[in-house]
Amino acid sequence: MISFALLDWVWLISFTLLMVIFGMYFYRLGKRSESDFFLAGRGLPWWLPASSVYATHTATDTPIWIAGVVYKYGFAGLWYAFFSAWCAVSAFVSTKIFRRSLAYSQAEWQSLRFSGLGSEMLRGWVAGWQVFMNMFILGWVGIAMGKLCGLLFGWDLWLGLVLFTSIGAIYVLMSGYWGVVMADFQQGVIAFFIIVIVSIWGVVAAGGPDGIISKLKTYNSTCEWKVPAEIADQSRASIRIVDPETCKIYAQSPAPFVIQQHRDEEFFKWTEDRTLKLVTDVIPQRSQNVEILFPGVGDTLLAGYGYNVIWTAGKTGKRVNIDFSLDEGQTWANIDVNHFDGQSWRINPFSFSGFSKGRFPVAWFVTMMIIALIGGFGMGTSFDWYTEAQRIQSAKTVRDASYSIWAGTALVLIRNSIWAAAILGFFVIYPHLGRGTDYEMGWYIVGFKYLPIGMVGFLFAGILAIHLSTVSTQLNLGAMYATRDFYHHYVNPQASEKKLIRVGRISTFIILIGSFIFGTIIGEEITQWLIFALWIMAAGVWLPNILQVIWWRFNSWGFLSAWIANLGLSWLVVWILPRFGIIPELPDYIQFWILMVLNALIYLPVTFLTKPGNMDHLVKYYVMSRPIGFWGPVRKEAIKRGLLNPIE
Amino acid sequence: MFSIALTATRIGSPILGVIIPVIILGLSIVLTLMLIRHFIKR
Repeated sequence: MISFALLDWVWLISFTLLMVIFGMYFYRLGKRSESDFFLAGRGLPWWLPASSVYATHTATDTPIWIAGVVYKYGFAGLWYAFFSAWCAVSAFVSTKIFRRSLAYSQAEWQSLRFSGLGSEMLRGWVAGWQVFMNMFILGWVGIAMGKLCGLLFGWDLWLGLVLFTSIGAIYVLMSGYWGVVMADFQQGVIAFFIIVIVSIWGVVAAGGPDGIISKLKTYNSTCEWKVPAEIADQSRASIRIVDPETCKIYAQSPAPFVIQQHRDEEFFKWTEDRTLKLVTDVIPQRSQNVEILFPGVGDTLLAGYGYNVIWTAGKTGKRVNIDFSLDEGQTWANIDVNHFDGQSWRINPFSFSGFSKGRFPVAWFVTMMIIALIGGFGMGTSFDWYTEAQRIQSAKTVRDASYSIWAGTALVLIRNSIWAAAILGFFVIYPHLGRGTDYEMGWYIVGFKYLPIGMVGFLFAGILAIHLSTVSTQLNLGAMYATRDFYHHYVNPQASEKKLIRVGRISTFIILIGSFIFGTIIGEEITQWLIFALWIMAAGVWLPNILQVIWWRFNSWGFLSAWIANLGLSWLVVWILPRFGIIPELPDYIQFWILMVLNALIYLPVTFLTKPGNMDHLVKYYVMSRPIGFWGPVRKEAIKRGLLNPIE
Repeated sequence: MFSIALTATRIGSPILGVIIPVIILGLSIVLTLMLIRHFIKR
């Protein structure tokens, strides 16, 4: 556990009070109207929603995730977080279209874009999905804070979850979105400074930029290996390193090592500490002969634990196959495709494991770039769209909305690069960690280990700023869908502004309580299931999310059928068919393309077999939003009705 | 793993633990007041 000095408490309490009181200060503006409580009256200059985009997308679990991918893949791991680049295109396309529509939420936009029963069904579905997802995300980030407090202070999980999310709820309940966006600005500034400071300390601790680069050049090669949990007790295993093209064996274990079944944290830690020296030991005269340093003769590995296979760096920059055998070399199973020549590949952002092989192939990178950049033409192609949509509508003009989305995302990408520098420093200090749960805490460890007294309290205040900015947004966003799209639209369309704000506050409170329940029951299985749910949303509905923006003929039934078909097809492609051996377990980027094509085979016929949307409704939407793409017949009709100037 | 963090190896003078948070707290307060003034004017 971490012990706080008096100075640490002074900074923590000062920053916390500043953030909460500032959020509460806007109480009088927040209670004026529904538009104020959820969109700050649509009057914000671009830099306020921009700082909110950046602050919201910096949560307590974000440095854990970035540390995980950068520790594993070096600077190339930053591409995992590059999906936010969709905003670079969206800022000039879907952001403008959405802002012009004046919809409060994405659910409301569905009913402006589509017409009839299908549009109402879509609005209800999107709103319900969003209320649920905001509750889930709150539980998720809340329990991450609970775990962090458990590690730092030895608290029970629920205490960190309930205490710090409730602090955020105080100003959200009072001031609504006004409090959220103003506190986000302040929290964004505090968080940005602490991220820069911890990263500087991390780089200095590792020997500075030159020190990091020179150490990476001398370190031996490593390859993460999670020993399969089902391997029988006392199995004798060997490792080999092979050229995948020529099948030339570069190195092989001189004698088998042992794999044991029982759990023994102490023993695991002892083995892991021993491997640090094997990674960092400089081998004075490197020869063509590569030697496996770990696991070696006399080593015992525990099944289900993560280790690093270590070998002396080869001279060529090839990728090699790392294989293991349990039957004295008669059959081999692949562990990974990995870099052969030490660790210097980690500073190359394009160090892929091959075109389609390994854990980091070019094909994955190309798919991700397409998803991100083309996705900017649509609405909802990334899950972040829903928070961004609220910020877009709160900007005072269409131009402000564009600037805010572009600048907020630029800040997110800059932040990731700063984090990556600290994590590379962390790798240089601890290059032997094989368990994700260990190295994912890298950024926090750098901060709590190396910052001077007083700065530790400031670091925790920064972590609290990160946490509050995320939970405040999700609380207000979830409440907006519940109030605007359920209560105001279906239950009481004539409700007064006062009543709507009261319902907004009640919804905020219900979502808060729901998140506590979610946070305490959330387990690995639920998380995996929901990540899968988010992924299938990206895979099968990605193209329909673009089509609804750029193609007039795409109707609500086509969009609804895409959602429904996607639910079934994704289960088939991801779980059921591989389980029965009908298709192999495919990498996620291949699943994406398969689901996209299969889904299109359903929603395109449904679209053409059902009537186009009502022309009056489409003309109204077109004149208001001015979408780009294939809108010829609607545009012609709008000109015919004198609603649009032909030269515009 | 957090045992790594427990064995602290502080880098830098303890005075930094006062100076840096004071500067950032001061900056946050100034920005806060500027923001409040901006919206009061409107």
